[in-house]
Amino acid sequence: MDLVEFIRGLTLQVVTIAWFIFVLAWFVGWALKGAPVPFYRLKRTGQSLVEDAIIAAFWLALGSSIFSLISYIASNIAQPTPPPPQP
Amino acid sequence: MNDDMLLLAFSLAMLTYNLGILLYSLPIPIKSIKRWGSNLIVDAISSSILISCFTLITSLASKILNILGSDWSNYFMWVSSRIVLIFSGFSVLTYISGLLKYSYIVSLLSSPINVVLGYLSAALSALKVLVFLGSFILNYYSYLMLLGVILYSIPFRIGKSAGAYLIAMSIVFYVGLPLMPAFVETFQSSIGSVSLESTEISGRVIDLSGNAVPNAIIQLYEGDEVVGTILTSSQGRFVLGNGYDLLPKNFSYRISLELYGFTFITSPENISSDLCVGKELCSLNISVPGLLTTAGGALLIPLPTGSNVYEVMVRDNEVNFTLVTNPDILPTELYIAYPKGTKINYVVVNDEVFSCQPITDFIWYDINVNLCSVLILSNVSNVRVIYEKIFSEKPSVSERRIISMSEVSSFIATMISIGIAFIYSLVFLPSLYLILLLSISASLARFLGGRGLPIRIF
Repeated sequence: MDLVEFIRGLTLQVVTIAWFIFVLAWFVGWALKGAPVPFYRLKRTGQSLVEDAIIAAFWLALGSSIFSLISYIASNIAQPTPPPPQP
Repeated sequence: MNDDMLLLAFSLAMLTYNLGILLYSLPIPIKSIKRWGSNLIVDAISSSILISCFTLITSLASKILNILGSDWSNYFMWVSSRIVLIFSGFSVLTYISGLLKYSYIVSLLSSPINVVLGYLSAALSALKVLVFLGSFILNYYSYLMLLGVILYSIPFRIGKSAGAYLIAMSIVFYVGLPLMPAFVETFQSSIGSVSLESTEISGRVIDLSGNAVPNAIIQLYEGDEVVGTILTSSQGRFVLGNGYDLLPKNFSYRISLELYGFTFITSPENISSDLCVGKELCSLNISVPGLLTTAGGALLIPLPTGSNVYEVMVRDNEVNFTLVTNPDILPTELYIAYPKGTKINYVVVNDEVFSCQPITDFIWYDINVNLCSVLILSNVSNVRVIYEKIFSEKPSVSERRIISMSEVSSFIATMISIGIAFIYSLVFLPSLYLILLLSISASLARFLGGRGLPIRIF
């Protein structure tokens, strides 16, 4: 199906961009955190950028695994229940 | 088809998930962007759960359908039986309005019939909608759910509410719509039968030899007052009631028969409601002992008082009978009345030929009637009338039908209550049930994702 292929391609691009942005956010975060500027709020922003980048990278790496897990659990639930035992 | 659509929805969910992560990791310190990112991730997970559980949901819907004991075939049978009922109501009402041919009855009774026919049309349209809705849901509910799932999985919550509503609506209608007959049967009033509960008395008017008396006028008296005037058909038939008249529940009318200016006593002398106890259709033949007529009403021979007739033979263009008169009233005159369309050639009485010239003529309800007389000298006479029938005429009389005012009001009340029962049972109750199902769907849609799932992972 062309639409599915298109969306998959789009997803791949988004994943690639997401990885780049993670790297960018990581560097920007550390740059802000390590900047020789005595502004606490700036350092705090850098800190939160690094934290968010790490969490995002974690979910990005785990992405397909989460979907596989959901499918696995759902397919197990969806299986027909066994017939009741006969006396 | 199903798998392809599920695959599409799953790809959309993956895209949403990755877009969420992209937004979340953006190095822009704005909280709302981060919140959008986390929302997108949660949406993607919830829609992937929905996609994975798609077959589970459909089988669960079928299971609930079985547990509730509802069945789609029962639903369609119920709707089609109601359609049959409406069509029978249509045919009965059309039949009744077809019977009401007399203008003063039409103006009185056709308006409630038309109101009921309007109600029936509305009920029929409602049932057609129910048939359409039922077949649409039964055939397309899985596609509606799939469409809902795809809409649900589109990134940035574009179609999340619509998708959730489609999923909820298809589940609720698939399970709930077959339960409609049970719901309606619980609350409906009786719409069992549409009928005009009125007696009908019909039969023939016959002369002393058993011949039909056509185009004669039956006058019905209540006391000395004429309450009804009925014209017999060309076969001598008459109908009282059933659309022609609205008879009261209890009645008794004295009958007299009028033909070519002569009035006759009939047997039975009265027509009453006792004839039809427990029956809607009864038959009554009215015989006229003092009258001899021929087929088509070409001749009318009123018998002299106290005389009897034997050996009557009616052939084409000839009447032959033996007249036995009371010797005390001899000589007597035998009258023969005939309309303009009949020509009497001659009359033979005991082998003596008379030309039977008209002694007088008069107009009876626009029919020109001639009257001739023959002198009878012996108390037993053989009479033979030779005649020609050229054409026949109908008296131009306007019938006067019996309308009982108490029955009119009960008729109107019956018609209106039947119409309202149809509207209530087949339009109001199904509409109420559909509204109920729609509100349940809205609730379920809200649970499925109208306002997001109550799960926070960040």
